[in-house]
Formats: sequence, structure tokens, C-alpha cells
Amino acid sequence: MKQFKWAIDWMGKYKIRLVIAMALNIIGVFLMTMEPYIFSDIVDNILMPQRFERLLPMLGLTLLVGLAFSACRYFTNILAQQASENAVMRLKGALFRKLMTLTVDYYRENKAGDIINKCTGDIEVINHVLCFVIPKIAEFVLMLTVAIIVFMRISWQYTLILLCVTPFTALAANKLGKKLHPAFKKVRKQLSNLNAVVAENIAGNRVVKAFVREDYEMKKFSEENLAFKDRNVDAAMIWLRYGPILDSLASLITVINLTVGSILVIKGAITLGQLTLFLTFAWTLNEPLLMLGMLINDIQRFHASMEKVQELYYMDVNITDPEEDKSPETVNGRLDLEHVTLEYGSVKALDDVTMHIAPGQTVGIMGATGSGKTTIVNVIDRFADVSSGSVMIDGVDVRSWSLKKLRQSVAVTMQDVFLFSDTVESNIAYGVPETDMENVLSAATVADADEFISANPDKYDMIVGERGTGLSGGQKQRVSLARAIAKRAPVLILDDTTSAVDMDTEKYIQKQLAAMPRKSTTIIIAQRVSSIMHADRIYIMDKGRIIEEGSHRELMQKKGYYYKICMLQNGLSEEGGED
Amino acid sequence: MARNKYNIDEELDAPFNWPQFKRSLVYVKKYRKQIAAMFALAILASVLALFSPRIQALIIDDMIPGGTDYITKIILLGAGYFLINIANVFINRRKGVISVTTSQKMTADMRTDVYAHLQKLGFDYYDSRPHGKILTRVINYVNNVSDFLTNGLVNAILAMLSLVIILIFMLSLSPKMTLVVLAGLPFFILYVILTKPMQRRYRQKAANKQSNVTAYLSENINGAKVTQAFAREDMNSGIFDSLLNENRIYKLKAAYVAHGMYPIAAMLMRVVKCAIYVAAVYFFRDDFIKDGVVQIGAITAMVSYSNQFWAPIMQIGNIYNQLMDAMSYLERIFQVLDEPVSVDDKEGAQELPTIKGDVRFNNVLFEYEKGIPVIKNVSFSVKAGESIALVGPTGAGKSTIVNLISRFYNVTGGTVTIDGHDLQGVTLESLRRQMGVMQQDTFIFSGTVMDNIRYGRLDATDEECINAAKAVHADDFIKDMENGYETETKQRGEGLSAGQRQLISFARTLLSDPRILILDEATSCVDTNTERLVQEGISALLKGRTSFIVAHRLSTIRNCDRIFYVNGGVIAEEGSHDELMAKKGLYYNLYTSQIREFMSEGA
Repeated sequence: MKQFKWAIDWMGKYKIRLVIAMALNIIGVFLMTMEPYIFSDIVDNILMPQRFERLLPMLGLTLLVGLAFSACRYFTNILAQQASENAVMRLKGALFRKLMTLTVDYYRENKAGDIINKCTGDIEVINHVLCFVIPKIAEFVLMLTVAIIVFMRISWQYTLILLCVTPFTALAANKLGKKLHPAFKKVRKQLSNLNAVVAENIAGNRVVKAFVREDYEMKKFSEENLAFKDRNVDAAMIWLRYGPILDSLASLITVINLTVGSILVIKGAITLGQLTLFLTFAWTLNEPLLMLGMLINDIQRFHASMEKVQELYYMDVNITDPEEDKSPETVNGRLDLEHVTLEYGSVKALDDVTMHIAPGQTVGIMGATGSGKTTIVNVIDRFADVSSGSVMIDGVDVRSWSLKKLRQSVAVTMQDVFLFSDTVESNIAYGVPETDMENVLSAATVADADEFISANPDKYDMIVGERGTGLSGGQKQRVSLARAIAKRAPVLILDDTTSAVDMDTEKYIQKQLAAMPRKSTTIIIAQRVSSIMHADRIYIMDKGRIIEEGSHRELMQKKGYYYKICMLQNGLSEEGGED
Repeated sequence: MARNKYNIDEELDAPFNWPQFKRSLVYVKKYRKQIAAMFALAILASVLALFSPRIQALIIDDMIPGGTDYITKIILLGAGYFLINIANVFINRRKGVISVTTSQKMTADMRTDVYAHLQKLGFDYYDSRPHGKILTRVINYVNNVSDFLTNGLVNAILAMLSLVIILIFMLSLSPKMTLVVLAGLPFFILYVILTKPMQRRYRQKAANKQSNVTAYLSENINGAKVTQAFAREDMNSGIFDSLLNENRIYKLKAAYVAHGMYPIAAMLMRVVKCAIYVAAVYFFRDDFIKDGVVQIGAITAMVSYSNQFWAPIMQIGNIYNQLMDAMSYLERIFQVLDEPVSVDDKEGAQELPTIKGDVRFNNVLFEYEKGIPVIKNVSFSVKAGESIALVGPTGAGKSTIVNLISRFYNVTGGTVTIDGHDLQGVTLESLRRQMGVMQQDTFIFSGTVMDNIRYGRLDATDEECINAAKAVHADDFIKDMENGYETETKQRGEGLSAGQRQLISFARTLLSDPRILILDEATSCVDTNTERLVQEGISALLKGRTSFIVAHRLSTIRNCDRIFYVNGGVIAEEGSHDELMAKKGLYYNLYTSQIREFMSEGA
């Protein structure tokens, strides 16, 4: 019940349409019951006595009633669907907004295909319940009430005999619901698995082809595909097992009606006319009972989907806005990390990291694979919150900044370049959608992307594939860099941004960055010495700790890790000079 | 190639046509036995159902007037009535079982076909449309059609059959009155014909908009971190809202037309009913008023036939709505199945025998888009066992050259040969099985670290997998992970650093024991120290294998036998490190500028 209310609440101001739809539905039911009366009147009072002058007006009345009924039916459907589509649209929008607040942790644990399903397939199930099942239930409740009232007024004893069947119906219906619920949960789960396998296959198509694993993938898919089929059949079989019981019980009512009714007529307890009335109204009793199984089916499916939707909607967000935004009016870009530690379980991703970066300074970070370089980016831009210590921009802890302000003030290029399937222009202007073309062009020029973009016939209107497919690794990185530069943010973080870019281009980009009018505080994370050697200060990380720091010159003199890497990369022996 | 993005509808030119529909019957034909059984059961149920009103009439008209003597007979008849109903319930159950299993099997068949075809499609297909759109076709669209193909078809045939039977009954009773009943039909057909283009347009639009919604959603899930980093949440939510709204508008438009079908039919049915009375009283008086007595029986019979005639018509109208819906999905499914396979085995393709490793490019020309050559008449010859480094500016064509060796794309001109076999003439399976390709975008599957390495050779033992990991120096960090090799990997390797993902992919590639190894930026995110250890680790493994290495870090390149400097789609320079240094050309500049700068900065 709670779940129904929750779903209906999403209709918002359209809720009134559902109410009107239900009202029209009730009127429709009444109009429908009027028809037999009118026609029996025509037969008994017009045709039999041959008083044809009343025929046309009566037929006119029939048509009017019919028209009204058709209109009721039509608008019931339309209004209910409008209300329901509105609810569904708002709910989908709300889930999308929720998804935008969830952090990397959520996306790590939940497969994309599964999340998509919550926002599409599951919601369609809810849609069906809102626009079809709920009005139907209302209609049936009404029909049953009308039937019981009519029957009671004729003979309450007789009605009680008929109602003897209902406890059995209720029992069977309850059992069906209980059995269906877990079955639909399994269907739902298997759909997730199927979705995940297909989504992964599509995303990994390059690897699949490179390793000629089409057959293997086919096998993996077939397992899930067949299991999905089986789970669906399982659920249907439950309903096919209980459906006949419900149907038989419903037909029992008709039989009782007919036999007991006839006997009562013979005994003189009721009149023949009353029996005909019973039989005429039998469908108002039968129809709801015959449809009961189907409705239970839909409702159980609804509950299974609703659980998934609500789970997402009420998911805890672990990174949220502060109660009060303490960010400064204008941001200078001073960046301080004070004894920052970040623990994932027992593993310290960052261990007592301290860095002080003055506005406009450039800092380089280097270190082994998995040493925590990217984690530093994450704690600055609040993709993860520190376990202890603090990260401050302009002296204010980033956790006291509004997320929006913080992320507008920090521009990041991520190691995994993700471009959207959109034009290059929209991709570069991603962080500043209102910006002018001039800014896009100048950002692309700084990132040395202008040349290859302009070489394409569509220029800046060229559409890139999802994740940037169709561009080379270096091109993707440069578009991603341009996207970060276009933000003109006081803090700029380049995480492995030029690893796929050749050195000449890299040098050009470095010059362009240095020549930018308002220099951002810049952090460059890289494996290549050439990327960071010009930085004001270089930090070397290992296992979450800073193990060396200083300028290029200082670190070279120190002859530690950095020195060794420099020698290696330039093909020089550690004693200096070419080997 | 024309790429598609989230807010561009993938328009379909093919109009609704019967060939399209007939094509879907391929799936039906496979289950014709089941469909026939469903049909037979449905007819049986209809015949049985005819008895119920007869029994009811018998009791009311004949038994009740007979008084108390007939009570036992009434009970017996009642029992008979109940038995018939029960029989019907079980016939319907049987039909339901067949229908469910058949439609589910059909769904599975169709999905398998779509998926199998997707496996054959090349990079170009995946690169030119959002992945969410492909996913929707495999999952949602297929789910939507199977019920129509089983129940919808059976019910449609059944409805038509009952139409014919009732028509015969009506004609036998009164041909004139039959015409009155039929007079309503043209109006209904007119409504269907007039609304068909609208129905179709709206449903197609709705399906397109739906696919846009899924595409945008899917992309935003995958790029959520970027969106957050660029504080674009509000704007994207707004875009998503407008996509949802477009979808809603067309769904509702389609509904406005579709929901009209039933009321219109019901209304026509009533008009016809009234017309029967009017006709009986005013026009066909002679037939229906005999000897001054109105033939009530004949009139009511005609009315009830008319009702029975219109019931299947309404049902057909309903099925027609479903058909329109199903067609908008079926078209999309067939569109995938019709997608030409760009890279496929040629007719009479031969198995490529075990590769020695001689690779030759003869005047190779390659264009992604017509008229824009990416590789311009490149020729080179690499001997078995040689290691080749490809260097040069981004976008120069390095990745394209190595992609042509695995025939991920077909050359536009010229030939690529391995051991003298033209790649166009060999089977893809035999070629790619012997190649080890590590592409720029590493991809980690969900599963365990071990599963991911084993992907390179499915029958490899744990030990072999671990040895491969050791060779690329991934063993250390893998062992440090929570469950070592059995640590679960999340989709796309979330939670692993980029360098770690590269090392796992590298181990996977090595495990496949390739004759030709292609490393496209295999270690670009790996630190130099580890990279050196990797180089040492794999040097023994690389002996005797031809390898192509695309890289920017000089330390990676230096030790290769030969270096190709690729620029603007041609090989501008080639030779060993020493030769190219002596030449003092492009490579020399690239190399020395770095060293020079580095020396001047410090040390």
C-alpha cells in the first residue's frame, strides 16, 4: 500500500487527473449497467405492444448513453495515462538527479546495465500499474460493491451463500501473491545479469574481437539468456498453477447462482425475475474474480520493481554539500593538504600527505602504479573525503565548500578520458555550456587540438563516439585537456593527460599553458619526466606517502627515485652521460 | 562515418510493409506445432463455451417451470455446467503453458540472433552510436515483441475465424439485415486507415525518443564522474528531462489514437444495434413483423449476432494496436540484423597456417571516410622475430597501421600479408587467434583478476596465468590485493589504477601466446621503474616473435630492432635507433630535444 501511495505521489498536480479518470470509470460502469435495462424496455414496452412511436427516442437515448460510455472509457484511459506518464517522467528525472549525486563507490558496485534497467524497465512496470492496474482495481471494487448491494437487497441469505466462495478465493489469491513475489524477484535479478553481460560485451567489443572470443561471449550470453527465459517461465507457471483455481472458484459462483437460484425459484423463495437479475449481474461478480489473478501478477511484478527503484532513490549519498557554504567570493587557488590520510578498509590509499601550493604555482607528481596519485585528485575535488587531515583551498576546507562552487573552481582532466557522444564543441564547452566559440577555440589551441579538429570536414561540429571512440588516444586526451582549460578555473589538475601525446606536442602544450594570462594553480600527474620537470615543485609518491619532494634540480642532486627514473627514461646510465 | 548522438533519432526509411512482418514469421514458423496446438485448444474452448448458455437456457426455460420434480436434474445440469467450465479452465491453462514457453523461447531465439550478429559487427558499428542504443535493442525491444508473435497471432486468427462463422449464421438468418450489420464496418476500416500513418509515426517517434533516453542515461552513468567534476549535474538533468518529455509527448500522442479504437468500435456497434431495430420496424417490416406479431426472437438473435460480430472486430482492432507497437520494435531489431558486416571472412577464405611472423605492407591505403586517406601508400616489410617501434605525433596513423595487421578494418587499397598470405584471403579466426593485441583502451571485465588474465587463453592453468602476471610484473600488486588473484574486478576495472589495468591487460595478451604481438601504448600509464622491470620480464618471452610497439616514452622505444617514424599517414623515417640518430632527422630531433632540455634543466 505504501508503495502505491509513493508511486501515485509522483503524479504531482496530475493526481487530479487520476481522480477524474476513476470517477469517469465509475460513471462508465453505471452507464454500462443501464444498457440492458433500456433494451429490455424496448423489447417489452415498444416492440411487443408495437408502440413504435417511442422507438426512435429510445434508440436515441441508447446512442446517447453509448456515446457517454465511450467518452468515459476514452477519457478514463487518456487521463489515467497522462497522470501516469507524468509520474513516470518525474520519477525518472528524480532518479537521474539522484544518480548525478552518487559517487564513484556506487558506480563501482552497480553495473551500468542494471542501473539503466532501474530507470527504464522497472519504471515501465510501475507505469503499467499506475495507468492500468489502479483504475482497474477501483473499477472492480466498485463492481463488487454494486453487485453485493444489489444481491443483498434481493436476498441476503442467498448473497451469503454466494459469498461462501470468497474466503477460498482470498486464500488462493494470497498464496499466489506470496509465491509470485520471490519468482519476480528472480526474474528481475536475472534481467540484471543478462543486461550486465550484454552491456559489457558491447563496451568491450574491441577486446572480444582482438582475442577472437565471440564464441566464448556467445556461450556466456546464452547461459544468461536461457536463464532469463527459464525464470520468466517459472514465474508464469506459478500463475498458471493458481490461475485455474481462481477461475474455477469464479465459475463456481455462476454455478451456485444458477442451480441454487433455480431451486429457490422453484421453492418460491425468490421470483424468476429476481433470478434473471442475479444472472444479469453475475458478471459484475465474476469479472473481478477472473481478473484477480492477473492483477496479483501485475502487483507482484510492481513490488519487485518498486524495491529496486526505491533502493536507488533512497540510496545514501556519502558526499554532500555542507550546511553552510564557506567558500570565498573570489578564488585565488591556494591549495594545502595537511596530513591527509585516506583509508579504504585497512588499506591506506593516502598516508599523511602534506603539500602547500601557492596560487599560480605548478606542482608535479610522479610515482609507481597505484601509489595514490589519482587519489590526491579525488580528495581535492571531493570524489572521496579524507579519513583524517584536511584539504584546503584558499584556507577553507573543501568540505566546507558547496560542491558546485568547489568543482567549478577546480578543473580536472582524468586519466580515463571520457568524452560524450556529442560534438567536439559541446565536449570542450562541457563545463561552461554558456561560453562563446572564442573560448572553445582558444582552449583547443592551448591543448593543441585545434589543428586536428579543423582538419576534419565537420570541424567543431564533428561528433565523437561514446567515450571518444574514433579519436586516437592522444586526440582524446587533448580534447579532454581543452575541456578542462575552457573552464578557466583557478585550480587545474592534469592526471596523466599527455601520456599518449608525443613529446613535441607536449612541449607545445606546456608553453601554451605557461603563457595563459591568468595562470591557474596546476598539478600535473605524469610518468614522463618531460611532463613535470619544469614544475615549481615535484612530489614522488609511493604506497600513499610522499617519499621525495623538491625542484627538478634538487631531486636530481638527491640521486633518489626521481633521478633514477630520469636516467632510465633518457637512456642514460645512472652515472650520467649516455650509455 | 556518420555518428549518432543521444539526441539524434536514428531515422528508418523502410515503411511499414508486409515483407518486414512476414520476416518475423521466421520465428513463428519454428514453433508452428505449438502455435497449432494453441489454436486447436482455443477452438476447443470456444466450442465448449457454446454449451454454457444452452444449459442456462435449458434450466430457466424448461426446468424451473417443471417445479420440484426437476431439482435433481437442475443439480445435475449445474454440475455439468461446472464441469464444462472446469474443462475450459484447464484447456486455457494448457494453452497458457504452451503460449508462455513458446513466446519465451521465441524471445530467447530472437535475442540470440541479434546478439550473434552484434558479435560479427566491426569497430565501426560500435564506434558510431551510443552504446545505450545498442543495449536497448538487445534487451528491451526483443522483450516487447514475443508476446505479440504468439498470443497476438493466435487471437487474430481466432477472431477472424469467428467473424466468418458469425457471418454465415447471420446470412442464413437474414441477408438483408446482415448488410445493415456490415454497414458499420467501412467506418471502422476508415478510422483504422486514416489513423494508421499517425499511429505509425507516433510509435516510431516514441521508440526513437525512448532509445535517446536510454542512450543519454547510459552515457551519463558511465561519465558520472566527469559530469560531477565539471559541475554539470543540473544542466544534464535538464537535458534528460527534456528527452523524457519528448518521449512522453509521443507516447501520449500514440495513446490518443490507439485508445480511440475501442470506443469507436463500441459506438459503431451500438449504432448498428439501433439500426437493426429501426430496419426491422420501418424497412424490413415484411420479414420481421409476421401476421401482426413482431418476431422478437429473430430481432434479438440478429442483435446478439451483431454483438458477436463486433466483439472480434474490436479484438482485431486491439491486436492491430499491438501489431503497430510490435512493428516499431521489430523494425529496429531487423535493422541490427541487416547491418552489413564490414569485416568478414571472404568466400573461400583459407585458414592461416601457424604464423612465422613476416609482415608486409604493399602500398597500403586506408580511409575511414571516403576521400580522406589516413594511411597513404605505406609499404614496409618486417621479418619474423623483429621488434618494431612506431613513433610520431598523435593522429599520425600509428594505431591504424597496427589495427590493419589484425584486420580490424579492411584496407582501402594495397595488401597486407603475413608470411605471404594476403589477410583478405584468410579467416579472421585463424588470424586473430595467433595475434596478441593490446589496445590503447584497456578493458577489464567483471569477474576476478584471474578470469581477466585467462581471457587471453581460456584453457590456461592458474599457474600459467600467474606466470604471465609475473612476466609483466603485475604479480606484486595483485598479491597485495584483498583476495589476490581471486579479487573481484568491477566493470571496466573501477578501483584499479590505470597502470594496474594496463598490466593486467598486458598479462592477458601475453598469455594468449601470440606469434605476433601488438602493444599500442601498453604501458603509457605505468611508471618507468615498473616498465623497465616489465621489459626485462618479457624479453625472454618476446624472443622469436614479431612485435609492434606504439609508444611515446623513449625508454620504451630505444631497444626495438627498428623504429618507424610515422607522420601524416606515411612512414617518414625508418631504421634502428643508432641509424636514425646518425641521420639527424625527425627522430633525432625528437630524441635530442628531450635530452637537451633535460640536461640544461639540471643534473
